[in-house]
Amino acid sequence: MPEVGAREAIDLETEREFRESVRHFVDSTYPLSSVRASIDRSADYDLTAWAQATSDLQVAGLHLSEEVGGEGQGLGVTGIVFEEFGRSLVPSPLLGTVGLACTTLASIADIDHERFIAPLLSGDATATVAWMSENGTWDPRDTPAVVSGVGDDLHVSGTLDLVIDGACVDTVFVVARTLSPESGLILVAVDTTDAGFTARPLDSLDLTRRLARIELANASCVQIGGSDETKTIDAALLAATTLLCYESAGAARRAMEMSVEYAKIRYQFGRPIGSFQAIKHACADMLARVELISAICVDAAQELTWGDVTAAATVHAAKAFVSDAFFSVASETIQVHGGIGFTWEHDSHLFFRRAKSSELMFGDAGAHRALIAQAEGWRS
Amino acid sequence: MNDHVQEFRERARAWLEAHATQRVKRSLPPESGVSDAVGNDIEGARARQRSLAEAGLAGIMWPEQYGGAGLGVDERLAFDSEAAQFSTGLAVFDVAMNLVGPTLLAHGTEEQKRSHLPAILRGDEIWCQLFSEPGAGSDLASLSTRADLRNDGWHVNGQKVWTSGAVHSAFAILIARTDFEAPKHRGLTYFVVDMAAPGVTVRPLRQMTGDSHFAEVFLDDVVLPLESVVGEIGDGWSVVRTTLSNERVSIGGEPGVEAAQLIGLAREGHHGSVEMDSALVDAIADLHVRNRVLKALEHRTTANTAAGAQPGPEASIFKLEYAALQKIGNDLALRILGPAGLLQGSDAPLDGAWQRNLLTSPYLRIAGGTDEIQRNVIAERILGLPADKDDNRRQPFNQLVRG
Repeated sequence: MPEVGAREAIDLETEREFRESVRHFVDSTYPLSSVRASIDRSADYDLTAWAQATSDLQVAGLHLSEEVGGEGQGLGVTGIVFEEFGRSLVPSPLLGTVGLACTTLASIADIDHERFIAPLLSGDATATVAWMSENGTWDPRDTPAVVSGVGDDLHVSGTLDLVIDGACVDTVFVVARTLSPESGLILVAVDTTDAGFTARPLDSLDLTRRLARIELANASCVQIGGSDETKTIDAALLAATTLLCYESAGAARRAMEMSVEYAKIRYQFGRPIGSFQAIKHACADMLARVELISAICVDAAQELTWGDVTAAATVHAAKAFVSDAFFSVASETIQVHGGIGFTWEHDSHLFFRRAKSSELMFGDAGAHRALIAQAEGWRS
Repeated sequence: MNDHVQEFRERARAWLEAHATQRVKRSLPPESGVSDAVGNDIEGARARQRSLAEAGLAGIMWPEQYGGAGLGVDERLAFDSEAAQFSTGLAVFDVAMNLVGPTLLAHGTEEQKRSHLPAILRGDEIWCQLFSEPGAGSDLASLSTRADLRNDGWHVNGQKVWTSGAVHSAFAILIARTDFEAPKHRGLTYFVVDMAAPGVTVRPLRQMTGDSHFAEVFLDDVVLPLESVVGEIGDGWSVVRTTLSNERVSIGGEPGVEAAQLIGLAREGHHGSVEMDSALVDAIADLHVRNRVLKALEHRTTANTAAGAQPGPEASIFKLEYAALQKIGNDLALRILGPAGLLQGSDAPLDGAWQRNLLTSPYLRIAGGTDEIQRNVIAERILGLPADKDDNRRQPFNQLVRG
């Protein structure tokens, strides 16, 4: 583990300024009130706002290399964007397009980045990555998608489930295998206007997260990368998991702040409920969780950026911890708010839904602990 | 990276390799900082401390004029990170180095600094802390040990408790009440006490492990010279706050229970040990995760400190989480030992080391600010939630209800 000082010192000031600019953008473009409005209308993503985010803040390319048109920053910089978007539960293509698609594509050697990455960076197009089967695991190796054909005439078939933004993007990058039994994982691009592509939006528990079931019936596809992109896909999933944790960090902090604010203004028994120790201590515990969540996100992003051998283990630790910690904060938020926290109109349940969904997405705490135990050789 | 810091780091490592013992990670629990063992081999500890000072590695950030190295936070952090893998056996100087030193540097007179700081660094002076009383724990400001000014100095009468290392100490920092009419926080004065003075009686306090790391200290008309006051008369609470802020940071400096130790323990298969089932593996993995997260908090605190940021809630959060994890770790160890957990001492596996740890760990949630106080501090000072209502902080001390 490199010593403190061997790494670049965090420039707190630069980080703070960047965070402020992102927060300002989010507060003016996607206030929490607009999020609620979009849920009630079951509206599509606001792509004008997304185009602004990609052009003003370069949200799509911050951690991508300069060779593919990115900004060459560390993963933690994109993490800050996810954190600030998470704060307002912003419904946007951020996780699908940036967290999954851009992250995956940017790691593929010799990719035609003008064709596949540039449109995502500019906000002209959106995308996602799909690999889950019905009743499947989050392991890309279990993908049900199979590619047949040769050269430029490839087709892919299979049913993919719980695809993030699957029904509202331009391109779905599918993790697949070929017919050959020893086939490693490959990545293919499917245009969502293709005749063989059907996507059904699913009723997502998290009202701010769009999920879809995709039927691929011999859909035309283009192979991206080589005959075995397993390592790339695994690495991309670790990065996407880390970004999801950052998103949870931002949302958890917002939920905690809402609780603290309410505890100061809600009076019962002649005084603010925050003056009662039970509430006060619940809030203190929420802050403790939020700070711990934040800290592990930074470590995970740094280790991935620097290619530390411990990076995967740290990401698993992050996801294991954040999964439960964010949900705990969201549950306590409802508790601190009492009855009003249980209403549809109050924002608490939006955080509760986001927390439960994010807990499960990319593997829950138990799943990531199992991966840690497996890597360490702790067998029962 | 800065060459000077790298050079310093190498010097630190060289000293540690020569004078300290490598921490060995086996199935044994981490050593406790509150066992009788801390007082073993005082002469050895003094020799090591002197050697550390001669190597320019003691009082790293203390000013050179008082014997310190006069260096910065980068060097301090470098030393701490190297020392993490070693056991230096210098715990008997913890109060002096971590509490007294910073307090005197902030509030002491020139004379106090000159006469004590170099001696502390050389290991010539062992200090203890006379703060808590049987009637004043979490509500420390309600203490009633009194100091009355007479012709020949301050006459101190009262009783202190939970004093670490009093038996070995040459000096003490004392907080006593000098004004009984003022509200509780405003009538206190901070003193330096010569523990060899007439009237000082130390009685070892037996803790639940059977050890006596702590003591009660009785002060029967102990006379302190006027120069023993630290800071202003009646403003002792300001000085106490400096001391306490350093205390919060130093608890949790010991390494905690690690997953690898528990796995090792389970694999050793001592007589009666349970099988490692998937539930146990999951529980151990959870401890592993939480340890890693706590380490991340340490990284963040270190980075903030190095960047000169104001301290936030990290120290309180760290202590809460660290204490919780030791309980979890010890509970898991006893779970692994199975029925052998019914025994202790030499009849138990590993000489009862885990049982001793189990019996020690409750103190972590109580000493240095209880869990409840930590939560109050976070809630009130960081989150700005209203203070507890019953506050007696404005009434004259002599009108307070105490029990």
